[in-house]
Order: sequence, then C-alpha cells, then structure tokens
Amino acid sequence: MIEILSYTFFQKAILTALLASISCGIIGSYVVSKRIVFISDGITHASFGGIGLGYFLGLNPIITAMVFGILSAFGIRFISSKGNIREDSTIGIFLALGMAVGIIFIYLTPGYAPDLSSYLFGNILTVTSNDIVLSSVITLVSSAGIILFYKEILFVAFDEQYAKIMNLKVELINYSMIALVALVVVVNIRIAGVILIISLLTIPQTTALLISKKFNVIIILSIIIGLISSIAGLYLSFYLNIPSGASIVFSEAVIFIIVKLACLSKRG
Amino acid sequence: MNEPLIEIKNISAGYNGSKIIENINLTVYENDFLGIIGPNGGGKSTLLKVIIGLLKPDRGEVILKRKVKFGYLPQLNLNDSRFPITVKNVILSGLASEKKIFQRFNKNDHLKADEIMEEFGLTEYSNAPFGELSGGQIQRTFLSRAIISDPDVLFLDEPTAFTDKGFSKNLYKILLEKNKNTTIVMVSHDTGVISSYVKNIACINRTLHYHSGNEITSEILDKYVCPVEIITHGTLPHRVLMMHKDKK
Repeated sequence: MIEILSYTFFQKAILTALLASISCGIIGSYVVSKRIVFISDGITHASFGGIGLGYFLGLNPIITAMVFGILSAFGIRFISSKGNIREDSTIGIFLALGMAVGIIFIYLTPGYAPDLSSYLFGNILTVTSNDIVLSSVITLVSSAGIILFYKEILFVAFDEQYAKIMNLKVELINYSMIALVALVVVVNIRIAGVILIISLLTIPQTTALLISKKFNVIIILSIIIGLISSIAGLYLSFYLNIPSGASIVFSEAVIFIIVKLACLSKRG
Repeated sequence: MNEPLIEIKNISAGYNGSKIIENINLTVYENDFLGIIGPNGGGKSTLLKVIIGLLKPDRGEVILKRKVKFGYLPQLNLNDSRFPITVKNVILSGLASEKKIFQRFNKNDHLKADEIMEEFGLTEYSNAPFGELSGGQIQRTFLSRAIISDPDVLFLDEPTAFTDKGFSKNLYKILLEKNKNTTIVMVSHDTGVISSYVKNIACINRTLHYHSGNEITSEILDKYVCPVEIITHGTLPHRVLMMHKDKK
C-alpha cells in the first residue's frame, strides 16, 4: 500500500487530490450553502464547449474551458437578472448549448481526440505538471479569497439586501465568486470529468452540513472529507483498475452514508 | 417641528413595470417617529425600500439632508433562512458598513452584540445556527442587527409580525428610548400599535396621506379615511376606518 507512493504518477495524483480538496472544499461550501448547485453544474457542462474549442484550435483545453466557464457563468447571471427568463431555464439552455458546441468542435477537429474520455469522466492519473501548477494557483486564489474576504462573502451570501445597505460590494462579490466557481470546477475537470465534478463541490459539503451549521467549520470539514475520500478513491482506482473519478465520487458517497447513519443513531 | 432629515419628492415605484406607489411626497424629520400604515399591497414596504435605496424609483427622488447611517428590519421571509451562519454573526453583520475591508470584528463589537442579545433574550442562542430559529427569534435577531450600529435612522417593516405580546411591549419601550436620538420610520398594519407610540402618521394605499401628529381627528377621518383599524389614545374612540375614497 505504501510502495505505490513511490511512483511519480501516484505522487502527482495525491498532490492533485490535495489541491482539489482544498479548492473544492472552500468553493463547494459556498455553492452548497448558497444553494447554487444547479448553476455550478450548468457552468461545468457549458465549459465543455471550451474543451471542444481547445481541441479545435490546438490550445490547452483547460484554458479555453476556463474562459467558456466564466463567460457562461456571467451569461447566466446577466440574463436571469434581467428578469424575463427564469434562472433555471437559463441554466438549462447554457448547459445544453455548451455541450453541443463542444461536440461540434470535437467532430470538426481532424483526427482522433485522444484523452476526450478523461475530460468527460475524469482520470486523475493523466494530470500533467502544468495542470498541477494551474491547480495550485486557483487553490491559492480561493484560499486567499475566503480568508481575506470571509465576512464580506458570508454576509453577502446570507442576505444580499442587507449587505447592500451595509455598503458591501454585492455585485462585485457575487460575480467574483461565480467566476471562482467556474475556475475551480474547470481546473478540477481532470479529476472527475465534466459529468462527475459537481460531486466534489457538493457531497463532502453536504456531509459537513450534517455535522455543523457554521460556515467556517463546514469549509474545514469539507476539505478533510474531500481529502479522505479522494485518497481512498485513488487507492480503489489503482487496485480495482477502475476510473479514479468514479471511485472518488463513490468514496464520498460512502462517507456521506456513514455520517448520515451516525447522525440518525445519535438522535435515537 | 424639527428640521427635515429625509425628503421624498414625487416618487413613483413598482416592480417589473407595475406601479405600486404613485406620486409620493413625504418628509421625515429629525427625531421623528413616523408610522406608515395602510392595507396589504398598499405599498408600505415598497416605499420603505425606495427610501433606503434598495429599489430604484421610476420617478422622483429621495433627498437626504445629511449623511446618515441606516438600520433596517426587513419584512420577514421565513422560507429563506437556512444559510449556515450563527445568530451572533447575523447580528454582527449590522456593523459591516463600519468595518474596512480585511478588518475583523473586535472585542468591542462582540461586547455590543452580547449586550443586545441580552436585551432581546437571545443570549442562549448566540452560537445557534440561524436556520433553526423560530419566527419570533428571527425577528429579534434581525432587530438586533438593525440597531447594533446605533443608526441615525431606523426603518422597521412590521417589527411585531412574529413576536409575542410580551416582547412587543418590551420592543416599543426600547424604541421609545432609542427615539431620543434616533429617527424611526415604522411600517405596520398592526392594530392598536401605531398611534400610541408614533409622532406622525402616513397612510399609504398607492397614494399617500400624511397626518401630522398621532391623533386622529374627525377632520382627518373626513378627508383621508384610512383603510386600517387604528386604536388611539386620548379622547378619541377606538374604531375601524373605511377604505380610501380614491380606491373605489
């Protein structure tokens, strides 16, 4: 069990999992507490358009997906703030359109798309050093953001109206946070893929919510739960020879069920 | 009469194109205790939101005579209170406008919050999750948030909607004390409350009728019949008033 730690690919995977647990732990706590899970999932799927575009233009698909993710996040917010179209409908449209654009570009790209399935379903073992650098930057930004602006983020998320009266920069904070959601989701796509990545931002956080109702405690618990389940998932993936994304999500779900049962039995 | 503090001129406002209030002119004076009354849907909360700056009016303007600090108790929406935050943090958020970015709450802020929680019977809930409070407790928490910063003007939208009689009495005692150096604007469709505490009354049902003073004279009744029940103190009998004539 220890010896596989000496493989470089496994060390990279562990490092990636650690970074993902931190960034997803922080941003996911915000997503779950503010109940914007659906918009976050919409952004993820919409960013697939960027992956297709990256293939087509021969660029790093993660970078183009980031641009796509942020633009669709702002697009969804902007269109639904105009009031004519409901937010859930807007999300549905962006989600499907992004996927469609991605598929079109991939089909227009000559030749075979080699690691397409790693973007769809995730494969933490294909993570490159560049990906790790990018992930470190995003993790640093998320951590610095939540530490420096904790009270602003908390108050705006809790009650926008009152935050406005308190002269907090509500719009700036909302747009920054949704952009950060897009960045965190996209930078971690390699781990669980477009289809499963939302679970890294929701299952550990929902588990943490069973234990605590304090925002800062939820963040820390989510990071810990995320880390435990991704390392467990990695070992599962390695020994059972199954995709890492699915095994990590499975581990998260198992932890959730254990905690839920413990809560139920405690209540008697 | 004191100096004017807030002047509301020709305000019309509403949501998504529909007009809720029309051509409102109103002056709030320094140290005023203004009661805004009117039927459900008459535009009480809308007017409050326009004055505070939460809703942009379609027409007209709100003029502040000097720089003032607002405190606000919104009308409660009990559906949306599940965010993981403690009661004390909600109350501290009332001090957010006084904190610079990066600045944390200090010992003084916490002492102030503790004091107010004591006054409003919330001490034992200090660390409780806000989402687990009852309606009355939420209202007391929001009241604490509204007054923790010692605002110049305190806006209250239905402050007693969820609280019990005992607390309501206590609340008005606190408000009268506050009114010595705070201007208060209170919206209510509560019967028997407004006129015994306020200095002036505005009655709003799309348009606004201003009653200087808190006594309802027969002249006012003839001119501006208000569609709510008002119980007054003094020599006037308690009575139910009829609909605004212009609403028929």
